[in-house]
Amino acid sequence: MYKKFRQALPFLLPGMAGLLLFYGIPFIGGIWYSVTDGSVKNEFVGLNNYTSVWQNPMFQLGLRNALELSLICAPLLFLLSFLLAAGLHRMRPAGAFFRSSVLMPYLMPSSAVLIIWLLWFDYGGPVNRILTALGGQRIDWLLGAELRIPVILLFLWKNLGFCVIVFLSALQSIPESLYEYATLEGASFRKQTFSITLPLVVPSAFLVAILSFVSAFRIFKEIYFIGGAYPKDPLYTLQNYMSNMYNKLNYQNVTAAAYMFALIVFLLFGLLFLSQRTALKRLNGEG
Amino acid sequence: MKKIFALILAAMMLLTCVPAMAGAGDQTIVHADNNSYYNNEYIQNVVSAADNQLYAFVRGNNAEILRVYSLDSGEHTDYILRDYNDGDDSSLLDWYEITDEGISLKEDAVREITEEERYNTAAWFAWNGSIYAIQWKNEYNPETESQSIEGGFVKKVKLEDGKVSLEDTTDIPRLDWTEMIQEYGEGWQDSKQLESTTVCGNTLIGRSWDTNGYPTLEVFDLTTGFHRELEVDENATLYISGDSILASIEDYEENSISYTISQVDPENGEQKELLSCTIEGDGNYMYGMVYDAEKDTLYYIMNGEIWAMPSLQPDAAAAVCDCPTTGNMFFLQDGRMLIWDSSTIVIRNIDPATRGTETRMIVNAYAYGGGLEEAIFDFANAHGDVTVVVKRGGNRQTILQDMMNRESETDIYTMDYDWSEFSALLNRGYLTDMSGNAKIAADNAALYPYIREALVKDGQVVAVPLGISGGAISIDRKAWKEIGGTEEELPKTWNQFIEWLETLPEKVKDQNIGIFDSYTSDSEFIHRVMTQILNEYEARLENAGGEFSFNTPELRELLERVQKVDAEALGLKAHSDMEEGYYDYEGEYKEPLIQIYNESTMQTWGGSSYSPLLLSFEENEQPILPISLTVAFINPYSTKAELAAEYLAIAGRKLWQDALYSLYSDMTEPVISPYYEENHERSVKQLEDVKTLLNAAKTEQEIHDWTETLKSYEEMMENEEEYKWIVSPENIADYQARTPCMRVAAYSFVSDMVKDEKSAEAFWSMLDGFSRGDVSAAELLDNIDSKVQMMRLEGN
Repeated sequence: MYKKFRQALPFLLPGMAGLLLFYGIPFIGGIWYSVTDGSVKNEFVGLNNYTSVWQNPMFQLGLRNALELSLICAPLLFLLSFLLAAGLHRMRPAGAFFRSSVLMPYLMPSSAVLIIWLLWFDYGGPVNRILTALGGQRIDWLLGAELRIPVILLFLWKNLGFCVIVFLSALQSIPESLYEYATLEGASFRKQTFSITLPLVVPSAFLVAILSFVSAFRIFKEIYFIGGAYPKDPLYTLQNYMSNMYNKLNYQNVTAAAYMFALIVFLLFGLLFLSQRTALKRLNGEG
Repeated sequence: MKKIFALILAAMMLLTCVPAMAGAGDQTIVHADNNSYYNNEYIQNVVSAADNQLYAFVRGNNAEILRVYSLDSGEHTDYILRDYNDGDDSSLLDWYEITDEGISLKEDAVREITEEERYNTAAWFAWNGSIYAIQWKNEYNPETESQSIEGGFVKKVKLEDGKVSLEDTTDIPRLDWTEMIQEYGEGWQDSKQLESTTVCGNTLIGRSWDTNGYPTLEVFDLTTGFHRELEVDENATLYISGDSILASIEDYEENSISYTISQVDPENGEQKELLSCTIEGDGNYMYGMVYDAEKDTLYYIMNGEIWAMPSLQPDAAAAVCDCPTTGNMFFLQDGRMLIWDSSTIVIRNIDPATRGTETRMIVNAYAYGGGLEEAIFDFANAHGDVTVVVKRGGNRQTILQDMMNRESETDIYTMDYDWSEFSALLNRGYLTDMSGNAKIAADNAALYPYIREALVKDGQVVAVPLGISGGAISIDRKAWKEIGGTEEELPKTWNQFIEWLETLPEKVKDQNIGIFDSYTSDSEFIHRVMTQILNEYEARLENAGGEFSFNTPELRELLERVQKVDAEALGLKAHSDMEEGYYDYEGEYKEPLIQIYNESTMQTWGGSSYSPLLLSFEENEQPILPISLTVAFINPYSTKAELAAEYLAIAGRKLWQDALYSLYSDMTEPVISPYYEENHERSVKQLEDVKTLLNAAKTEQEIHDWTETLKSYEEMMENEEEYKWIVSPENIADYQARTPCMRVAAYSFVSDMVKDEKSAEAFWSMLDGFSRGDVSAAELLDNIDSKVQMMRLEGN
């Protein structure tokens, strides 16, 4: 194994070097910004920046909104993408058109997608017309807290395709023969799902869960494009806080907020990782 | 050869200690600072002959002068070209004859225009070591009441006894001037002027414009007089210098300019594209281009420096020396570059190899501040080995990153005081203490208190003001008195202002005065008043401390009242009547009583008869007038902090007079117009003559005519008195009286709301909606307040 690793090293080094140079070093270097006061003397202030940021009501609002949005969007994305992937998997070999076209929103530029969304959810747009046709009242989607709904829908629409592809490839990689053997042995659909499908799909599911949360945490440009730097309270995310701090040239607060959020995300992913291991053990009948 | 010339010249310059020299070979021939502009003398053209002299054609208030500069010594000699005051000593009594029958015009009263006076000069140029003028003649035929032009007369310049005489010469035949004559209406003609003339061999080339205002290239053969007019692209800017004839087409983008530069062949007008390039960055304009075909290098002025682009490769372009002005450029015989504009002639050695070592001081002027270019000349006199480069524009958001990187390339920055970037620098102690410079300290002490306290932090002087401005709703107090208004009737609060507006229609009825300017619309009025109220309210909140909120019943009620003002009664146009942004103006124009936006700082040149209405939000509360300040400060990481302070000490007092008087409390001396004494003396004499003639008048008609004449002369003298001041005692007193109400506008939440494009669009859209009555005061203030509260909670 050692020999194999040594052989692989030349191939890994360029990528690792890039990762170190553009991610690792800045990540570590940013810590210095977060523990100094940013004045001309640039004095060390310990964890004061972290304390003040943590206590800042706008940081708290942004963090709360970021977590809320991700807890809404990520599970929805996960569930919908799995269901859609399962459906597309059943449609084989037909449905090639749907399998291709499901990725299209992911490939479209965000600004173009946003413009379409703005037209759809405009006060006089098609969505409101449908609502009024169904007997409801028009809603000002683009102003106020109602903007959350178009943002969530946009997130789902844009990211669904990629997650579907991941699930689909996981489903398609399960050998058909396993299902055939199971059927021959008299296993029910439920048994097959829990004994064959899920254990083999869990690693991909974990990946999709990670991707969903990462994408959800990154919801910002849609809100910024429509609501600006200071949208209504329910839409003000942590990214807004960090962006505004950056524009105010307060790099200390930006880095402190970013590291605290990174810590929260690491904890979350740690939790997901543990959940994955537990789920796999249970599905494989271990422990 | 040129290098040898440059070296010899550089040595001579060093020995003779010509002032204002930075790199070896640099020279300042002349520079008139901002305030000497009032003497109304400006340079029209500069020509260089092969005699180590420069010929500058200067138009002054009283004369046209040919000023000959010696390149060796920098000294100059003036020769009068035309004296405007010739014959102006005549008296009215010389024109009229008083007899027992009455007054009659003398037969010889009307002086014949001399032959010389019929001639006008279209251009000057140097050829074969001599200076020539191209003239055209104006002929008026009183019988047909028509006028005609003849042109193309080439005269040789002779300098003698302090005068310029233009002599006929056979050196150059008369030039074909037919195409240079333009027709205007029936029987009227005018001649085109020729600018940026240059001689290439025996061909004279100059720039002119056709009747549509598009540039043309005029080419004259000096041996035959033949003329060719070459058309160039209507969007092209022509740069003519020696054998470099360039046409530049510029395409402006948001943060860049694309140039397509072509060389024009004067033989046939063919344009050969030399290069296409895009210059990035705000403020990076290419001026005064010259192409040296021998070196295949393009020279141009950009951002305070002369740049060289060898082989026409944009990537290879580099700055070769500083350049304190933008203007016309041409090569001198010795290879140096001469740059001139209406007030300045400088020479620069553009060969980096022979410039020697020099210290560069960089000024990054993110905000427009005066005095920076002006200070270069005085500073260079004291520090001949230091060049100052003033770069205008640029991205100010990089400044804090520069601070954190301890960037030392820039020595001085300028910013507006209310920018968030400046606020961040000020709060974090990035501004260098300049108290050690005695002049800066003294000037700081001389500032008005409200400005001084803004520029001192923890007892240290941290910035120097370079610009000041402020807006306010203003009233013509003289007109107000004329319509029977008193000072006591004027409003003291914003609510009183709304009530007072309602009384005005009756007040101005049957008067020769309007309430607002005829072109002001209802939405413009509301927009302007609302903006002023918001700015003053924010300043009030900052000043008072305590709860910081716009969404208060007091402000809501006030804005609602503003929105409900009876626009029609006040004579305001309905915004819906605007077509393509314009109104069709009908009816008699009336001077307005109120200006919805007028400068609240000192104004010069009689400035304005309008002075600000000082309005508070509550009775017996001091009003607050927010003032914008542009300041300069030293980079804490600059290695030339002392030099930078010296430079700023000069720049701080090199501002235009209105800025100086607005900033410094020691500027209390009124300034009379330089033309006043002379004009007044003449007017007094003429008035006396008219009175004499009126006394001698016999018939009723004569008495009536001379009485009318006397009235018009008296009105003229009243006007002279009104406009005799550049800075009047009343303006000074008026301004000093309102300085206690003024506050330097610091970081503004409302201004910061429009920093990003999306927020700005939403904000202005909401303000427009409010102006049009589509958005209520409550909605507007709720929107502003929610954002402001978020900004405040975020902190800084």
